[in-house]
Amino acid sequence: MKRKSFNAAILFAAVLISSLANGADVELKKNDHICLVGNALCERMQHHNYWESLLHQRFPELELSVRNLGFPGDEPYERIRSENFGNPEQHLSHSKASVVMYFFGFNESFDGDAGLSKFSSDIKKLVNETKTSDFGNGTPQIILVSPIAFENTGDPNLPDGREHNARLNKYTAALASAANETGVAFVDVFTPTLSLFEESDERLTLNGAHLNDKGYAQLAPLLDTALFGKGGPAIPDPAVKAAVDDKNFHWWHRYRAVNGFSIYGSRGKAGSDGTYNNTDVMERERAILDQMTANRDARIWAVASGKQTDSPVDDSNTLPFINPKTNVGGPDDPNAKRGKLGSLDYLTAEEQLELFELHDGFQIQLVASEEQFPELANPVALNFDNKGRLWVATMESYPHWKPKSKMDDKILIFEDLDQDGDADKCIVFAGGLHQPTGFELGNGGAYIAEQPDILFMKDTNGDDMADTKVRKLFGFDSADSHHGIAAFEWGPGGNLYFEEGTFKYSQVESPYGLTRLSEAGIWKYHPKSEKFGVFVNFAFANPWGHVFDHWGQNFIGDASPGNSYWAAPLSGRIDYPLKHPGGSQHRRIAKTTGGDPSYKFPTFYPKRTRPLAGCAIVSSRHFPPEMQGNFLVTNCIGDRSVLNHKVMEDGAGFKGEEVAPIVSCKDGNFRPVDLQIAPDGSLYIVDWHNALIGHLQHNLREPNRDHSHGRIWRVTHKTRPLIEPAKIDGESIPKLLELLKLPEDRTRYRAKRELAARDTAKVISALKDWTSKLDKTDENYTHHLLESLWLHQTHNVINQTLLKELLSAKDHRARAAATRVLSFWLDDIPDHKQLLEKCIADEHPRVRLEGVRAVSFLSGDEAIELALGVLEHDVDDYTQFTLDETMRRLEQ
Amino acid sequence: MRHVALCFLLATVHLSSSMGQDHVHGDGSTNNSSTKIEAPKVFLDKSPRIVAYQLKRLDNQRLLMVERRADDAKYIPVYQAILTRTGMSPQYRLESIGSLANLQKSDPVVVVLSAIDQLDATKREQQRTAGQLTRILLDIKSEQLQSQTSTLLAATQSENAFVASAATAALLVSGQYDNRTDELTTSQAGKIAFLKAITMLPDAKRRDIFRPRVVELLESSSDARISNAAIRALGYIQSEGTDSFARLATLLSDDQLRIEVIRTMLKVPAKQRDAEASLKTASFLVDLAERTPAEKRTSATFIDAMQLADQLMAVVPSEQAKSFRERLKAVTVRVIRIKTVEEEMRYDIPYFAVEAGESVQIVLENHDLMPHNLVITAPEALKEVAQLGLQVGPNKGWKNLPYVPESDKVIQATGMVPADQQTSLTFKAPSTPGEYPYVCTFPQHWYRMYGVMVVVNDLDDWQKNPTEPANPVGSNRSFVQAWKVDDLKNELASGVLGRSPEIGKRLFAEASCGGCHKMHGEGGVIGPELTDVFPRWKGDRVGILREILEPSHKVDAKYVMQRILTVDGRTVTGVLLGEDDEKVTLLSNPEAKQPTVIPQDDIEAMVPSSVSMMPKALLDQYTKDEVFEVMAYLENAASNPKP
Repeated sequence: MKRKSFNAAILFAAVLISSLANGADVELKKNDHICLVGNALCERMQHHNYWESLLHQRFPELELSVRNLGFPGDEPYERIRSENFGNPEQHLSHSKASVVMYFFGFNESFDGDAGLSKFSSDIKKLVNETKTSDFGNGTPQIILVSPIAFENTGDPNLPDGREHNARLNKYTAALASAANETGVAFVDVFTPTLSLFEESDERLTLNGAHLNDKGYAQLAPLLDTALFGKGGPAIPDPAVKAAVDDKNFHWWHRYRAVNGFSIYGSRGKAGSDGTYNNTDVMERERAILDQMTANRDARIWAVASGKQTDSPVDDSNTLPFINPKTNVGGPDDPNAKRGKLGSLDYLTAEEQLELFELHDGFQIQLVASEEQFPELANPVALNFDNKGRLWVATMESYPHWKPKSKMDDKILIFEDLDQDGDADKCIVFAGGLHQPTGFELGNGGAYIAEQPDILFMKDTNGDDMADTKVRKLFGFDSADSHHGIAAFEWGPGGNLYFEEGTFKYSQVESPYGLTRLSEAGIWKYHPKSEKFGVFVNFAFANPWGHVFDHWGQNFIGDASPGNSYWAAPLSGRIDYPLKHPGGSQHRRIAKTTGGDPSYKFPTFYPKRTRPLAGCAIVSSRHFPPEMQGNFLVTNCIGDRSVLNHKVMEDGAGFKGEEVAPIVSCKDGNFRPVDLQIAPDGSLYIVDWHNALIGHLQHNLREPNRDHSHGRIWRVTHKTRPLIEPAKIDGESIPKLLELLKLPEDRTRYRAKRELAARDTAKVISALKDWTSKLDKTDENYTHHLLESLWLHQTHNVINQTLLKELLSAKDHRARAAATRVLSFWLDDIPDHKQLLEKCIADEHPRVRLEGVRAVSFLSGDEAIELALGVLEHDVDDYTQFTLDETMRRLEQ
Repeated sequence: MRHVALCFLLATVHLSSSMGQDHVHGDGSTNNSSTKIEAPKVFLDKSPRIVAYQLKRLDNQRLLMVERRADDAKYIPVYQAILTRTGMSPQYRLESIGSLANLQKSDPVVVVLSAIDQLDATKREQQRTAGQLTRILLDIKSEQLQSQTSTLLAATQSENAFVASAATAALLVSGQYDNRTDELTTSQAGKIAFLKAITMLPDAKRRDIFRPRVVELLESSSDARISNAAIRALGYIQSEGTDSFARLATLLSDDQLRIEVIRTMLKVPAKQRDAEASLKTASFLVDLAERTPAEKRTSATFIDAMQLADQLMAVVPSEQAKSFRERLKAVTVRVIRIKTVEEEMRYDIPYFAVEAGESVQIVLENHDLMPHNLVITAPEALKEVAQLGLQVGPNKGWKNLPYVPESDKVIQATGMVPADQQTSLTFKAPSTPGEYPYVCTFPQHWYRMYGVMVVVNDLDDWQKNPTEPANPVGSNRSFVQAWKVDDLKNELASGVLGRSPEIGKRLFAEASCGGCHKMHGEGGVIGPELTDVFPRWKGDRVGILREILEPSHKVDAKYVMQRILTVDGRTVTGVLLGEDDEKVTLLSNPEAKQPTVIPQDDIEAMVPSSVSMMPKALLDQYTKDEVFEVMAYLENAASNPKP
């Protein structure tokens, strides 16, 4: 492809700079307001501020203000947002845009030739509309920026980019001719990045499609030259970049404010103290952030002009905060009446310990509290690493970081040096976070929710403190901090799942295309292949629980309504804007998402009390045999308990029955929100420990929201021995494979998590050996085989023979699990239709249901015919639902 | 009986697989819907359960797109689905009956009966469909019905009560059982089926034939179910009303029968209400009112009873009436019940009288498919109030009511009553005697939907000598005939000759056609323009006449009436102008200045109606000649310049 040429020339040295780009000038004037609009390429630029630094260094005297309005997944006319986010024109007007840079074409390019003419006409329409607008600074200048090329990373798990680049080339050409026709500037970064990727020895993208930090550093001079011609500064000045980083940090928290639904959305009206509601209080904070951003513009100009600027930025000119009164207490406190309120007189952990009631045979102990570890403020999620250590996420700033304060929510590691069950040492793995509503460990680091992103943070020098931070996944909505990404869980086949709540409108880009999701669901992400998509598209309220059983069947807990669901029927494919019907929020949105508004998808046991903050399945020889497989649920309002349910197979699905709780507490501040079986088989519980509960019931800045308490508790059996924790971290692959024979789900989970991070070739070779040597007479032989299949899936290695063997296994649970694996491998298994036909004709209803579910990922009349085959058999409610929903998808 | 006039007319239509090219009510073109829908693929070779499942998933529009051919048995399930589908236009049902008869080597009678048998009698929508199918059955020519006597006889034994009574009705229509109804009424089920069948017979004269047997069953019955069915059947029989009334009067004291007795007595025309029986009944009902506990005096049953009592006051001696009235006044407010008539855009009561200054309650029951209200205006102010109401539109007017203007000419008004709901209005009658019109102020309805509340000083005096009030819209038209296609079609060709375009134009306006249809570019937009209706219909006079007399026979998708139920419980109806992700735009009436826009978020459900927005019986106040004038006007409109 021929490089487009730009006749860049500096026309006016001092105040007016212009360059010719494909026939249209780029002229920057003093005090221009440059707004960046478009997809992830654009949005992520504010976290890698190389180009903007070069811009200010090149034109310090122009005193330019740059505002990034990007949002992953944005297309010219499809940009989904949470309620009242504001339309593009409102945001451009807010920032008084005088220059608009549009970054489109990457997501659109997946439509190939079929989508070209629509893309072209959409772009022209958008340009023409923008041209005739006035955002407060006169007629805006428009610059169309092409998509970047796709990098061939050499990773066999990722696309090599050949098809991507052929498409991107055409979309770049479409942009060029649209710019030509509409008489606006065009910048080609496709061509230079194509050569850049070819020439670079270093990897410059996260996944082929999205630049990493080095990639943005390399893009900066290319973009600068393409816009303004040669002669710009060669490298960013670190002082300028630091000033730009600081400015963009404040802008980011203003434009992409977490809790949007409680600021400008419907819940802005909530939280009234009689005078001020959430909107009043929080919009003031956004106004302050606008002022702080503007203050930092001035700092950038000063630094770029070479002025000495060691003093902190002076923000004394900002508006005052609005401080609402409390609504806690008094004779008519509705939250007290409903039993939601705890007590503002917090008990010590020792006093609280006396107030627990345990299931027969069990005892409880304190693992950690804020008394000994002040870092443990508002703990929200826990996990255990492969060394067996406890990890906890804390949200001291919950529900929302306050401007001018230090942003410092954390991921903590607790070490129990003397092995007595209580923590002796606390290490801050990561600080400086905002609302880490969930996290998971893997691939040598931690995936951490920090809406609107998911971070991947890693300790590279062995001090247990993270020193790299990558925004790995992006485009999630930030409409509500307590509906944020939560309940991270590795699936048995190496997919990372995480849940998102209602009010949210997310657009997530991947090397395979864009996924949109509105109003809640569960996401799936395979870190090897970078395949990303929606696993469950269902109108939850705020799902915070997700767990897989021994045979890979999964269960979901929706927090606010306290509903527990069996996942399989809900996890067939259905695409935005449709959703599977029956969630607690479905009725409100059914007009858009389809399905009978009055339908309620069944919970697998009758809900007695709400809510349901986290869930776990008992799989531990430390627990008595009769409790194995029980479904545990943390209840932090109705009962202040860990509720306990027996689970039985029932037709295609499962049914549960409540039995005596594991533990409950008479201290109303006991707020169990997460729990997990530890490596020694005991049960750990996160106690959020707050008198107030509920996001909606109090102002976001309610003075009595607690920011200091938090406790971790541990439940053990009084007489049964603990389990010797398995050695996982650093163990050899064969030893790790042997761990897959252990009965504890969590031990196998951690072993697979370790194996997932090892070299694929070595793992698969050892696995081949391990699988062939399995004892066929072992009663768990089929399960061992299944673990082998799942490990293949984890390493993105297709094994048709093993898959087919398990599809024909005697145990229906294995066949159902294999059918689920097949649903992920459809593209790679040529005879998948024949296999699915067999699944759909299986003697067990669960296998048939999994088969029909898998068909939802196919398309066309043949797929319809395949799914309909299930009607040749008995069809229970779950299967009927799955068939109906698969049909909806195939008809979509 | 109006009810009978609703029946769908088909006696001479041949049921066969070749129904011929049918036309679309509307502009004659095909579907104008904005989104293109592809024909769905249905796996007709699969097991019946799969086929049924696939067909069930399709909405009516898609179901009709499924390929179907009357020469291949695999299409049987498609025709069956169409035949039994709710809201399907009659033409497709007829086509399906013909095709199924062919494919199954069966008879239309068998086809219809088995279709009725598949419907779920517990679901209201399906009951309606069963009623439609029964009307089709009874419209089959009697020779054809006779040829299926043994099938019909077998069906009378069906456990499905709807099938049994439909089959019985078909046997009665066939004319073979006029003198041997006892053969059909040996069992208890047979008796009930027979009595229900009477209520289904489209021809009033035919119903009269069976009166003796109905009476016999009533007299001999000791079973309340049979007695009630017989009483109900009597209400559908016009002959010997005096005898029926007297007979019913004797049954009033029976608690198990009273509800049905009162309902039926209300149906007997005033002239056939015998004085003695009336006095006895009135006396009984006054006693009944006094002993009914206060909390039960608002029930529909009680209102029926009081309605009857009130009507009988006109027949009993005035002294007696005064005393009854005083006693009733002590326990209850006088109730006037007014019903709207389905698809005809009129109230069932043309006028009623009230005593000046006395309390009265009007219960408005809406049996129509679109919303209506009832506004009482000052004398001679109907038109003024209706036109002011139009300006108010759906916004809040008098007492925050839509379509009711802030005007001292408004005496009383109800809100808009949605389909199948009712409302009541209790007020003191004006102190000045006079003729106070009542009217539906929903745009354009006032042309046809009105009546008069006559306020008098002494109600008993007035009732001794009731005088019909003047027509409040100045129309001197009265009911001529419930016109059916068959009444006119044979004379249609000659009837349209030698007519005058001026007269046609005047009648076109008077019959309010122009409210909805454009002619030479003038008129409403809620229905298709009619200037070129004849060329569009390729000169099919009978087809066009059918469109006028039976507007719901086939409705073009573009003009289908949509009924929207909003999340806050409002009902909005109208023709769909547009729909996108955010909103639905409807033209809710012909005179709406602006379309109604409803945000999608506010919509609970949007249901397309199989019924045309065009009222039936528009020409029932017009003579045969006048109907031909209108037809001639339409026929010549395209070729003639504007008259």
